[in-house]
Amino acid sequence: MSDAAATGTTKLLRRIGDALGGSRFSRRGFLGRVAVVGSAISLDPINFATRPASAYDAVCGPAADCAAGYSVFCCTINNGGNFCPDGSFLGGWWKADNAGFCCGGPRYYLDCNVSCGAGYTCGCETSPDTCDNRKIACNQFRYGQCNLEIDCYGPVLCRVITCTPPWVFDSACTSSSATDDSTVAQTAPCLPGQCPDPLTLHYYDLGGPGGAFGPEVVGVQSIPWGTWLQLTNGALFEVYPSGFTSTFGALYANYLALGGPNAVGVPFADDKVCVDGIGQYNVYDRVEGSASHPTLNYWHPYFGSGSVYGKTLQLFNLEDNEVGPFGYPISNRLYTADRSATYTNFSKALESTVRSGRIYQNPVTGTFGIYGAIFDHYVALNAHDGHLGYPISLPTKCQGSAGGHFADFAKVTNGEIAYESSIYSNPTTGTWSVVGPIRDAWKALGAETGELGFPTADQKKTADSLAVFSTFATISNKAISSRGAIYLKGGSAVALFGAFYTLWTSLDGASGELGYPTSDVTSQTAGATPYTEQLFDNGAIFGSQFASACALSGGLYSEYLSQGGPTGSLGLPLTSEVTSGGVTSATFQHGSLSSP
Amino acid sequence: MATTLRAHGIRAELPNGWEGRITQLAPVMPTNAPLQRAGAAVQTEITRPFAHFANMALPPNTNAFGGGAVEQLGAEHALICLIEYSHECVGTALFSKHRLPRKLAPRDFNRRGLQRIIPGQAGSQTFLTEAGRPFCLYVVAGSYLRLGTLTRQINAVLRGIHVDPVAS
Repeated sequence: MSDAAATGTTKLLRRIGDALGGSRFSRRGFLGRVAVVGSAISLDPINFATRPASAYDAVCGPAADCAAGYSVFCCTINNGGNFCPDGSFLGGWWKADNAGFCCGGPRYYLDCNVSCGAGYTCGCETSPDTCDNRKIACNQFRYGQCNLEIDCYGPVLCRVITCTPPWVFDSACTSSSATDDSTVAQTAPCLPGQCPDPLTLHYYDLGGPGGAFGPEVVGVQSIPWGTWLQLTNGALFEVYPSGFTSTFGALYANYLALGGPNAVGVPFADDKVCVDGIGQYNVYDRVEGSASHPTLNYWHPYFGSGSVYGKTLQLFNLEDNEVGPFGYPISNRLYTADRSATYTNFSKALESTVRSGRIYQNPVTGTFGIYGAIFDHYVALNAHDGHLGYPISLPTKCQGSAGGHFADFAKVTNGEIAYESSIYSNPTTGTWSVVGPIRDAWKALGAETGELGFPTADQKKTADSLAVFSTFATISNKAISSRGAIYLKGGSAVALFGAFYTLWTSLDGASGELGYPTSDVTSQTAGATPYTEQLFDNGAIFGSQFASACALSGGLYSEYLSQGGPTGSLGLPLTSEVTSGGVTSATFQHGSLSSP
Repeated sequence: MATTLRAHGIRAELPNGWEGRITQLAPVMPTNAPLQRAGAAVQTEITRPFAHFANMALPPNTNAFGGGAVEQLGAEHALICLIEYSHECVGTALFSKHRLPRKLAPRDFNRRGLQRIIPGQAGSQTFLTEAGRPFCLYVVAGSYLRLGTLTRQINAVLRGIHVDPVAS
């Protein structure tokens, strides 16, 4: 409309508003009337300005009063909703050809017949805020092309309007045509004017302002993929080549939180219900040429909203999306405090509990995720801000028959991996971490299938703070069968296990006479007799066919070594040293030693 | 002298003073631009024959359910509309209950039983299957007060309607 025309229209509106307003009408009623007049002018400016008819005649078309005998439009009596009110059903339809409302095509009128037993009584819309004063639930008539399985029906409650063929609009309708062009100009203020945008027509097919999507927030806007219409409870799109799509409710709220079309593109289908029948999802795509940038947006009634895209989405897809081990995303992409990585949180409903998880995307460590007990323990260890760093594997089944899962992690320092760690989870030993050099030593011994078995605690400092250590246990028939440990002192990691570990711990471990281990267990021979030996700060433990573990320390051990040790005249020890009455002694193959 | 009218597998023996028309419109292609842009193959509407019988001059372009004619009905006039539906309606609950009635009573009419309620008029509507073809019989009496006389005239027409099993 030109400025001059706009000015003229404004003056006309003011004059007519004044005439219609006056002291008899409330402000709401006055505004309603001005709106009606504005619609009249936009719909039919020539007739409205020149004919001695009311504004309502131009807005609502001919035969709008009760006495004219036609049925009211549903949006007039249904809070703006262009759909059948409760207690009614689509009973049939007719069309009027060459309808301006439908840009010259057929306009379809779908009658909502009252359901048998529904308590509607015949009347007319009498609100001063509308000119659609046609009949409500009066005409005991049916066109008969829809819901043919319903043979009991009451009068026509109201009319739904669409430019979409009824058999497309609602699959309960057949395409047997009935035509009545005399109704082509009948309309109501709650319906859009002449030849609206296709997306607006679709909006009204979905109920319009009184429908589920609610009133308009922002009118139809162009976007690279078509157009979109922002509504109170959702958004509608016309995108190429898919046609009409939508996103609704909580998914829509998160769509806006993600930045809307410019950030995540548009949906190329309507929202869908997830496989579990509980959650909902939609895929938005920001297509640029041949490149696709999809975002998968979820909502779950218990978990809320979340989304995944990029490499996180690729991994999520590989892991079977929401039916996989991660479950539903419960956050959008989040940044770590130093913004060096991103992560997305997940929840999965299990039979009697909820399992949490997270997928990280880090340029150094890659894109990996963890969940369940491993994730819980990782969080307890301060997650990515802790000493484990970022996951570098998915939860993976452990080797052997003991069961359990593990995931590996890497600590990143100055853009490089400083060391790796793992969290192992096993029903017998629990869920614990193994870190850095201790983990390396443990892996060198066969990890969970080696002599040490599964970790049984996180890495700890020794009482004297001179070393750190992790403890382990092997599993047999779902029970712990032996224990061990790895001590890291002075940059050297040494493992203890089996009878040696049992004996060492019985001798007070690192705080006992032997002190810290300084070597791994070595296999040697004394003549033809094989034996094993492990050295400590202040002694050694020997194992042979004569005794599984014998500890010697201090002066007695020095004396034993001075006499040639296992290959000397005493041979291998048959007992650990014993102190009695202030005298320490031990028995060997070929003699004994004592020290005061 | 009675007039015989025949078309589209519908034959009517019309009493003196009645005229009729049997019509089948050409289907109109839906013009739903978004559907067409989306490449959707939109089925066109199905048009079936409809017949009008009235004891007055039938206006040209009378709509299937009498729009354009009912506005001109005098108190002594009646309009009979027999509208055929697509074959998929056969066997449905709505169309299965009745055959073409040959006799309507005044109690079959209702002043609100009208597609458009016009004061003084009364209507009667029946969904039916006749000779394996689904129809709606819609009868409008120009005066509710003269239903006794009008139903006799209407029934004379109804008795003279014959439907062939398959539309010719």
